[in-house]
Amino acid sequence: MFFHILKPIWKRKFKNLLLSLEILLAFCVVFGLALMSARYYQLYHLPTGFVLQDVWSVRMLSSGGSDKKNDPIVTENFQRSLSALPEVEQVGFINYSPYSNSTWRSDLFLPNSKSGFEVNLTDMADETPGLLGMKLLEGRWFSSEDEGRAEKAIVINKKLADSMFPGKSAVGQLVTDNEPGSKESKFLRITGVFEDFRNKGEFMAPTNFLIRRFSRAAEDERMEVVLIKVKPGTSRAFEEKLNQQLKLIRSDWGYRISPLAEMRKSKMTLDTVPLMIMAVIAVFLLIMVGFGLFGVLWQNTTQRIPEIGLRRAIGASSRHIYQQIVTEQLLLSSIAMLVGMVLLIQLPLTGVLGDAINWTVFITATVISVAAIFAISTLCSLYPAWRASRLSPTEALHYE
Amino acid sequence: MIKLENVSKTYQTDKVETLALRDINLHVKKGEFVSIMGPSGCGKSTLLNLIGLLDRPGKGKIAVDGAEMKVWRDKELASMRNRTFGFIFQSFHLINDLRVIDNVELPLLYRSCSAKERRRLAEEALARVGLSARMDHYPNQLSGGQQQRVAIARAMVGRPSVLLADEPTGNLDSQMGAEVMDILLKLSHEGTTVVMVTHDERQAKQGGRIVRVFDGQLVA
Amino acid sequence: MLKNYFQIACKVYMRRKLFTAINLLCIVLTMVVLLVVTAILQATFFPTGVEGRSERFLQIGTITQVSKNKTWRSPLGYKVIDQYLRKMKTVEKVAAVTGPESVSVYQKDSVNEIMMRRADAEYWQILDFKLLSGRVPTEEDVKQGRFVAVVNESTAKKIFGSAAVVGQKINTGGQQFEIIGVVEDVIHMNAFADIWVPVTTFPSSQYREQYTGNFNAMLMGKSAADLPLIRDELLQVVKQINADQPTHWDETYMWADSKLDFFARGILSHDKLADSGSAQLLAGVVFFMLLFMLLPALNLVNLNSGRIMERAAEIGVRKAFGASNRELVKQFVIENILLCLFGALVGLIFTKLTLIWLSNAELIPYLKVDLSFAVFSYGFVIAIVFGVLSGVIPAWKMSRLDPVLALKGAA
Repeated sequence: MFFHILKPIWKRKFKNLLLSLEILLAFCVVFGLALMSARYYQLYHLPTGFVLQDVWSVRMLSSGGSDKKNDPIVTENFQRSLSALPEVEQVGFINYSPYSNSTWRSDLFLPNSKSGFEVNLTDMADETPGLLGMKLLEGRWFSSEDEGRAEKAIVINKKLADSMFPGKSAVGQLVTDNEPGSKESKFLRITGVFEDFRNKGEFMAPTNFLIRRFSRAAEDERMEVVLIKVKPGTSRAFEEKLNQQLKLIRSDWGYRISPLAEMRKSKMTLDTVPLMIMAVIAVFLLIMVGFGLFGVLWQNTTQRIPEIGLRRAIGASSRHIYQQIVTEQLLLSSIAMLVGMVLLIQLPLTGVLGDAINWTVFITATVISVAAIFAISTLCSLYPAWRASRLSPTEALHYE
Repeated sequence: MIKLENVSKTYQTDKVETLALRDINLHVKKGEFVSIMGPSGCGKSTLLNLIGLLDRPGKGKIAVDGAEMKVWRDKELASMRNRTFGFIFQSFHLINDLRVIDNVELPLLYRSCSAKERRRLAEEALARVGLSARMDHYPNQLSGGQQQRVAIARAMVGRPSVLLADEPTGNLDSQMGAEVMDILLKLSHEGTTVVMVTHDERQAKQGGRIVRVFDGQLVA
Repeated sequence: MLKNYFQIACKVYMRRKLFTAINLLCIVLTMVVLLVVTAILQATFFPTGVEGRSERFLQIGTITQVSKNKTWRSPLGYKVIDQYLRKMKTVEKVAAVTGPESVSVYQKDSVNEIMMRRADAEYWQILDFKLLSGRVPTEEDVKQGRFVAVVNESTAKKIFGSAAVVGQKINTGGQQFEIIGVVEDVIHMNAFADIWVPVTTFPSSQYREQYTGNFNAMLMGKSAADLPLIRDELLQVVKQINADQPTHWDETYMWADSKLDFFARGILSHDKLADSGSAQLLAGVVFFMLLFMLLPALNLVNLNSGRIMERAAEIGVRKAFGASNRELVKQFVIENILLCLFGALVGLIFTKLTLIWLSNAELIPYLKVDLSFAVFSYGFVIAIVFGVLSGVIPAWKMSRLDPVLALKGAA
């Protein structure tokens, strides 16, 4: 039965070639969309590593970018007076807010090793990890007991710990961010390992993350942002009062106050834009392909009406004809998709797009796209097949 | 005018080879009226197609107006078909989407001819077959005989030297058939070479020279 | 000849209305997507309206400074504009404006986030805002550092409930401004904002001394012919800036760009090259359009290929009467192009509808794109390209039909 259907397809191979090419392209388009969506879905469900509920970000801008160094007195002032406000539960400094557009990257090295680990990093004060509800897995968060030590205290995420210290505990280890062979040798001491901190949002690909300790008393780089955890139910109107309080301390600075929830919303909208555009294009193309397939199948069946008449005359039932046409189309689609899969499977095998194309995502995308193409093929062949099967043998044989 | 030397033609379908024509030697002189006769399937139409350069021989040489066809390139063929030959088919093959006048103009589209000139020649050709009144009608509004006369007008509009007719009266009744034959004979007397395939013995005799084909070969 | 092709094309298409409809749908869908993109790109690179003088002015958005292997890119500082660019001889006017920044506006107990720009007086002279009421800041306002503000219509309605807000006070970022004018909503490179205040209202005057900051500059010449002269003079000015800077940098780069160059430079990161890469950007755009056309073209190829046998008799007849293969290819490609042109026309209507929908859907705030003559011409070109792309293969197949078989088969 299979070969009876395969043979006519092979006979008309050139004609079917272009049709298969079209199905192949459509398959690739759907696959791309499914892949993207699956990846986004996968990323969305990974833990972000922090809680943004009731956390507001206050960006403190000095006019013209001066005041780059931390003034301990001013910082301490901020910490005290903001914590004193009744609406405020916790206050913690950070160099750039989660859900902002900033990214800091650097390389981390094991002592006496040339291989570097690419990390995302941020600086936080002692209070901040707790404020953000971050999850500690091993060791401890940095605190005032790390004040004044030669090695600066840092915490790293599990991903980095596993790749830098496979099988061992990372707690207490020394690492450095100086290039191997450079004259400086400042070390960083790992005090703890946390789950993760995907500070660019739910769609951020998992990376190595490093958090450095910010000391309010030291005169290092100033933290531009202070995070504030407000009491649940605090309305946005508190912002004005907050602004006034901030102005009391440094009236020449500008303050940009925004709840993390809002920043998250804008970031997510921005992140999903490529997906939206791709979806629109894919839908357009699929509508076109759907109609095109319908048209071609209609033509094909019309042209084969004498053949169908003959088959009916020698005893094929309506159902046979119907099945034959639909099966032929499905077979054609399958061949096209098989070729497509051979091409597409190179993606995860060669690892060219990295971790984004892991097997889970790939298989999900495959299932979705195969189902979609089968659905379209079946749908488009239904009506022509039904029409063809309804002709009586004599009508078909005498078709003009 | 047209000379065929040792011409053979075979058809290939999958694994089967059919010899349609074998060792044909034929010389059609200028101004002749030649009728090709023979039973069904003997290769008459194939012979006509070869003479009109609509098909290419497997073996042998064809010379038109003294010049041998050495190069069978599409551009040259098209040019020759346009200038030298005019075809008339058994089932007329008029384009039903176009009006009568547009059908007659068709050959002139493929030579450099202004629209006005085309129109003039087409009207002239229609007048010669007596159908000027039907200029703006569509082929399916005409009777069989009228359609064939339009086809003749189309074949003659470019003043070709050779007219090729493949069973021109095959789909017509005897009266219309006679009308068509009259036109063909008139054209022949005016100097056009006519090669006709026919089943009708009487019509063939009207023409003059008869060539018989049997099983792909010329017989006496 | 063309008339003949047109006639037969009409007849052939009307013969099989269903397939023609499907073909047309495919073409219209493709054209709508491509035309919408073209319209948006056209409005971005060659704007009318608020940035209508764009052919006469250039913008500088970034100053790039390089030392050994460290690169520092940043918008301009006010000092660069005021002390260097304003002194250029080839420019008629120089405007300084900050990039849009989000500020909070407190009104009673509601808070709104709006986008603010600080601009000088020349800004209002180079750009062509549509004033709905009131006035724009004058040079006096800016010189005196008056706390006046211009808002756009939507912001006025959002904060005050109506657009009649001239004279009202507005609090933002700890400063209080009086609204002196209301302008129409716009979005474009230099014009997009909700509220504009004079540059002199910065909380501290440190901005005056900075080589890097948050500013963009607009350099307007007397006519489009001045622009190359401006670019040449700028090269000298940049050398001077590099020499004068307190912190030493090996190289400084600043480029005055047209809208197209500006985007190309940003997208392709051509910070250190004079060539903005606009040719590459356009080539990229064309490439993606062709790529997008691939699937619809293939669709059409398949649909048209199926109709070959329908016209076998006609093809046989034409060949018998002297049509060369090339003639037939020409005929069928032109037939296809005619359908594509018709599809483009219908597509233009739907494009207009889509653009109206886009403006109302507010996916991008204040977006207002319209069809222009340029878009019509691009549509024409795209239709022809698409017609050729999707017509060539079926046309070639049709022309290769053996006349004997064609005539026999149809008999």
